[in-house]
Amino acid sequence: MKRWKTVIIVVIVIGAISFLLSGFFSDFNTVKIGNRIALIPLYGPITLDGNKGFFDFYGISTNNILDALKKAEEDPGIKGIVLEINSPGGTVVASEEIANAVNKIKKPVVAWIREEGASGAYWIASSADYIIADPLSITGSIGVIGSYLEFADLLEKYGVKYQQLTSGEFKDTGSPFKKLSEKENELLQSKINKIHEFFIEEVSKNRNMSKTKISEIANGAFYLGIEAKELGLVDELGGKEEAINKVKELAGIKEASIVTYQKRSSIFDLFSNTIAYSSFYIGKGISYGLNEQVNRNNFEFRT
Amino acid sequence: MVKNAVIEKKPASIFKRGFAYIIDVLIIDLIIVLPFNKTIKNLQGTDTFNFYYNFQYLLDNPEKTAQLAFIGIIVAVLSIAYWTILEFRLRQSIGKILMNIKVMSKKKGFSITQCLVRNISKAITLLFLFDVIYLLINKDKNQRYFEKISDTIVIEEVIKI
Repeated sequence: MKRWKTVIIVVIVIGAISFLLSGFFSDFNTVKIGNRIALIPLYGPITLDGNKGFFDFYGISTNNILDALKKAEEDPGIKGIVLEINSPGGTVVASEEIANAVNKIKKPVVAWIREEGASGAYWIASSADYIIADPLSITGSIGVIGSYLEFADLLEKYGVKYQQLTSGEFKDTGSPFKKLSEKENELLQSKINKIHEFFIEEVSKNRNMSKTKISEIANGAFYLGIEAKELGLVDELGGKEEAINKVKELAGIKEASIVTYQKRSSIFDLFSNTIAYSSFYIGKGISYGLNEQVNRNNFEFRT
Repeated sequence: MVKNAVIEKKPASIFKRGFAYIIDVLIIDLIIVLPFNKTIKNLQGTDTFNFYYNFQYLLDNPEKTAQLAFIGIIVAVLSIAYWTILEFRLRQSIGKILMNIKVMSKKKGFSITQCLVRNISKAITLLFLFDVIYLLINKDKNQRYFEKISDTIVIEEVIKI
């Protein structure tokens, strides 16, 4: 009985101390759940799946960004979004999907361009409500690239012949093992031109600038932040502080804490990616794996 | 007590010790951690576990990290106080009472310093992990490392007729 009396006294005293101290902390410089700004990093080339390999720390996965945007929009505590952009661009559809998603968001979005926000990354930035770039950021590069390495002459030099067995004249267009015919060249160039037109139209709508004006500067050239501001491609020169302050201003709030939305791979993801790639290449042969990599990287449209 | 009954003291089994620890942790959660729950959630900036959170929030908000660390220290100090005071006064914490095991000093006398030293590893997860691994490796001695340096042992009393 005496034992339990001691236990009760000790528990009550310790509980009371904890309760009193927690009361002291509850008013101590806390931010209510509700005033938050989502910071979504976009680092690296943009592809649908993030182009993950064994060392998976560089590359934007469209799927992950769309998830992050969705979560930020659904969270009533998030009052605004900052897109932290440091990307040279990426594939067309991957960039477009993110840009469309940003366009649809009803909360204020500020794009903050750091080292580079070019091509597809600029497409995404242009969808935001406001763009802030460093004076020396690399941005613009409103254009499309579909270049690839062609090995036809090299193969011929070593007596390797390419046997074309296709149905349809243009079925193997873009194969690195044969020369590009004039008709194929025209075909690919027409596609690139169409994509470029689309890109210009989107940027012109997003930035509320005339198509003519955008077309004049959309020759694929990149611009430094200071140049981009003069051309109307960015709104302000600055950094993180300016981006956060702008989003607070647009959201009509004074104080907010920052929440970074970034998916990190766990050690299991890292190993499963490695095992998946290794298994595939071991099963099909290393040369097949390299060949596929060459084919995949050699031809695709990128903005 | 039955005539000719003998009370045998033997080192407490690891299972009893483990269950006693779990009971104590639940009690500590209730009386020490629970009052801070709302503050911790406010400082973390979210009231639900968010896959994307990943402590980047704390890196972006260092003043909140400092406050959370301070709360962590308070919780650790009060937890050690719970174990130390109860084991010094009664040789048992609540978990140990329920599992019928107790702390005993291997040398003459039993000081509060011994109690403090044997429980100090419970404040730091990695240190406690090391302590438990030491216990598992040295099953014959049945002592955690910090029990060894504080000259204490956890025993159970078995009545033999």
